[in-house]
Amino acid sequence: MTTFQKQLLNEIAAGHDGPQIPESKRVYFQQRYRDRLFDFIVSRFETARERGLTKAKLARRIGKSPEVINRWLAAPHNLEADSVSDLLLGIDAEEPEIDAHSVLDRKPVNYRHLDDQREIKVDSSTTNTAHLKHIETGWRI
Amino acid sequence: MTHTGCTKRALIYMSIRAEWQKLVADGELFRLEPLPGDPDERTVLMSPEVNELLTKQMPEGPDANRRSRLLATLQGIVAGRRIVACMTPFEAREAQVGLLDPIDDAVFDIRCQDKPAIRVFCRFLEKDVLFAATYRPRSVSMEWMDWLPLGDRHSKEWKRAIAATKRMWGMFFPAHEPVRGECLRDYLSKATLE
Repeated sequence: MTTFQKQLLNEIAAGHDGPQIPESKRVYFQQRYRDRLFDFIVSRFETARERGLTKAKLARRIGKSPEVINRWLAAPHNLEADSVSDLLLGIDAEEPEIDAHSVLDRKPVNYRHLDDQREIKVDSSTTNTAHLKHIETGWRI
Repeated sequence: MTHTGCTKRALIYMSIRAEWQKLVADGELFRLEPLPGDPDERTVLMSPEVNELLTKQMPEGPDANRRSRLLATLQGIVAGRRIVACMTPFEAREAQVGLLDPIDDAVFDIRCQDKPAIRVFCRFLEKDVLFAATYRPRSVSMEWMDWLPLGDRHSKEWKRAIAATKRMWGMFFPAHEPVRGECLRDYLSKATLE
């Protein structure tokens, strides 16, 4: 964990008798929550769309206008508890499972984006692109 | 010759990936880390000024809150969360990422919808690899920032921010062009059009 990330979690890790959690850190987690909720809802909609659901059908099913559905599925800040409930019900007859996990002591994910895809270099002895060399064996495109 | 990417063997070309990986390794660009435990599905590279914005000590208050929302938004991009994007300048309403005018510049802004917001100006190095070059306040000034708010969409401030983005790109990637795709999926995975 970087120093910055440690600082981010300082007061949060201090326990029930710790100092007040600063507003800016609460705002950070509020935004994370919104983004994750939005990601979840949109992924549910995308899956259902592959099975024929449209925004118009969804709007009709839950008694909302297409404009409202468009707005809800357009940005994280447009979702509220009631709209999440309506959407899940209309998308696939679901309701959310409520659970929570600690933000502390989370293990970093080992894989970093593109870490297994290394550089390519061209030798100056040729300008022929056929001589492009893959320096690493993990190349994957 | 001491140009970046050239060695005694006189390699004359580095791929853009090799270039940005070297810049990160050399500490010239900064790679945004996700919160531990989050997936790492995209890459956000930050210029020193964007990195400073996200890491500097800042007193509590509205500006710190704006910064927090921006950080969470950028980390959400790294974590591969779904993004709504707009590829038509001036028409973005709710999109988190928008292509700016003129489109040939291939400059995008990343938006937090809560007002007052900070806009980050970026270009794509590869699909799912963003270079966050600079930032500006959208509509309300910030105490610790000299820049004026962007204001009206045809303002000089918008043009200056886009020019600053291109200038920054030229400093770090003089031998490369940004991604200029034909459609959204040339830039981002897991993204939908507004």
